[in-house]
Amino acid sequence: MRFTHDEMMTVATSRFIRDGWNTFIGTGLPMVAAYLAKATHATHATLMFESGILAPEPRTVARAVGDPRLQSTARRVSGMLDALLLLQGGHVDFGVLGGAQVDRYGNINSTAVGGEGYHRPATRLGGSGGANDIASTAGEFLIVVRHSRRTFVERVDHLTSPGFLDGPGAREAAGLRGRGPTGVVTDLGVFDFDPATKQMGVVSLHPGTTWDEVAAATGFELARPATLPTTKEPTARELDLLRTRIDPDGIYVKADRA
Amino acid sequence: MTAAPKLVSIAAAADRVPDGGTIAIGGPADGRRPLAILRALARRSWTPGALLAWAPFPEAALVGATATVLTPEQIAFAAPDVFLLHAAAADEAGDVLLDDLPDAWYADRAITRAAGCVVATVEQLVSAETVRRRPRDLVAESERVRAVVHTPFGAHPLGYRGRYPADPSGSLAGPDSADHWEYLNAVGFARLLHRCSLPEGEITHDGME
Amino acid sequence: MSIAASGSKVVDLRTAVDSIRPGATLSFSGFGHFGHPLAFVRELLRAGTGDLTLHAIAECWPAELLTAAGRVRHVNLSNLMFEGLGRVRAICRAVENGWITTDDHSHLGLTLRLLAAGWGVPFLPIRSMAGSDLERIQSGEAPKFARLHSPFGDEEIGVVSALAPDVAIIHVAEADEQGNGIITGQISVVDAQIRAARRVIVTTERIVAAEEIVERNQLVTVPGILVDQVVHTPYGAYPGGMYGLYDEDLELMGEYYEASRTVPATAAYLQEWVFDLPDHDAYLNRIGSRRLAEAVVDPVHKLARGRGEW
Repeated sequence: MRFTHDEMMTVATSRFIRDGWNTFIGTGLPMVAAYLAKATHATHATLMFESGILAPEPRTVARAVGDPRLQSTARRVSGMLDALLLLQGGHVDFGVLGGAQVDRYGNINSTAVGGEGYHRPATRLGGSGGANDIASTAGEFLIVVRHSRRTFVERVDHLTSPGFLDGPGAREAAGLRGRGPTGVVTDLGVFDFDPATKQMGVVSLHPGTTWDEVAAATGFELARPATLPTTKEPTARELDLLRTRIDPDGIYVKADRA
Repeated sequence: MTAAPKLVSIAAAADRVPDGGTIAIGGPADGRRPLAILRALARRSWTPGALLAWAPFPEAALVGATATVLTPEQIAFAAPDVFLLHAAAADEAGDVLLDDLPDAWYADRAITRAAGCVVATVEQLVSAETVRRRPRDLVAESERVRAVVHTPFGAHPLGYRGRYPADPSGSLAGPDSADHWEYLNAVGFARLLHRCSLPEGEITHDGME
Repeated sequence: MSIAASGSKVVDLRTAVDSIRPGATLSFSGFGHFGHPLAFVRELLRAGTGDLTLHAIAECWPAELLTAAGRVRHVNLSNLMFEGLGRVRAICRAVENGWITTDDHSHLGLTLRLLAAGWGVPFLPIRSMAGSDLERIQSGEAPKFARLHSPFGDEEIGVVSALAPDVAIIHVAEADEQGNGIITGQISVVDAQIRAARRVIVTTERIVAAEEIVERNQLVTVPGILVDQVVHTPYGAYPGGMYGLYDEDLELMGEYYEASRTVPATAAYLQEWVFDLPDHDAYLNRIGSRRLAEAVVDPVHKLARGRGEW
């Protein structure tokens, strides 16, 4: 079957969500991936939103974290303070984060890029929101971004959300909880972090992606592994679920409907 | 063959009420009368045959007629051709929901069942799922309904118990308008919103010390 | 004085807005495109009050509109963006040009700062922000983050300092005349905001009799004892939505978003939708009966008709 980059990314993301996990989710592709996981291998995963929405079952794709589609179908609705205290208290197993810049240690920038730095950036972005909280205290988290030299940088201009900070032991020294980033999914491949060095490495390249493409799109040195597995393709069932049930209008996941 | 949609503009609904014929009017004496559709009927110079109501209805003057007041049972026996009903809500299919005290509810229900068809105006449009979850409020099933119109404040200048009070500054015919939205804008929609979202009685404005 | 005996706190919108002094620090309710007291914000814009500091966890619309009109000096924030649309361009432009200063936090960080103030303690412990530039770069009036050695064990823990806004402006679905307010749906960080603020202004869709509040008293997020003024503003969050009541007006919000691309277009938008209108009622009458009525949500779906769901 044919599939798009979006669909490959969504399926690859969904595979990181384990059954029974409490998962913090934002909108967009990660939300679609989460509902795909719930429809396939993680039926008992519980989705939580920083706004205080617990276990929603939206009838149509939600457009925002505070979307009425989520609130009106949730088991419980509280507030942001409540949701974030559950997170800090260790009750959230998994989160998914995006960002404008990522470095080899999985540190993320969603605050400010270029210019003279934080006080006079070339581009001011949205800021942490719950991202720093999730990175600091979730059981583990996944990074989902498009792959480009602009995104994968040697050094983030601003460290909004902590991956492994500057290397082994740094998270612990800062008093952060959880295992930190355990994977990266892009439109080119799947990546993880070396247990010893805490630096990003390749797990698999998506079908049709070459090593040269990945290296060219990565602004820091990525060690080429001995073998280069290919990411397992989306199954027919996964694609059907995405295209007909979860995101039938292709709002977040552009589908190949040929 | 697809049937004509039931959810229509007020002008289109007025067109579906034939000239002549026996027309029943819903609602109790103190409010919830279908004045929006009567105004639309007046716009197209409609003339009823007989106009029947189960509570005094001086507002029949809107169409230059007088209503005969009968009991709901008598009106049902007369098998009116069209029942003009102002109610709480309806879905796109034409199922109509009503919230009112028991006597008024059953009066309108009795006439719905006996009338040839219902032309309903409603304060709010709702989903089929909302209708499904409120079986006790279903006063007119879609099969009985010829047309449904979305007319918030559709009883204005009368009130609608539990929703908005009567508007003493409103005249019966009201300002010239092509449809109910224009009518509401001409009357002053913000003022209506204020009046329906305050408790009965006066609000004291203490102001700043 | 018991609540039942206390007098009405209801004032008109202009009176409430006039109680905000230039240079005040403000915190507004709202999350995403819902629950922002935009009627109040427009009246505040008309009043010309400036030199403001905002504590904005995620309340994008008030922060963006006030910044667009040049009324803001500094923002303490966590995340400001228009979900589903894009960046808050006026705020980004103001930061990039050095017109305003900012101090960044995580959601929990800034919320706990408010809570510390509300709880009468100088700081609260937190694990977030440690090790990041949110800790390293401290650009507010006072330091926001420090590391302490725990007095009860052998670990270091981060703490965030108390932060109290002068005024919190909170939009609710219904309130009695004493300011006991119910918000339908998620409350964002209203609980922290109202406890921290020196004064609280409640704007409400409906003013209701006490017995209506009593019937749902476990849902009263805003206790009247914290509230100074109550203002009646039907559709007070428009063109944003109010959960359970009316949906967001995507087209009208999109109009601002497009205008925000440039300074002149932004100014023209504010002139047309704020400064040319004398008050909130004029704004509502300009939107018109049909648009406002068609924004009302279905009781089950909590969405307006025509959003692709019912």
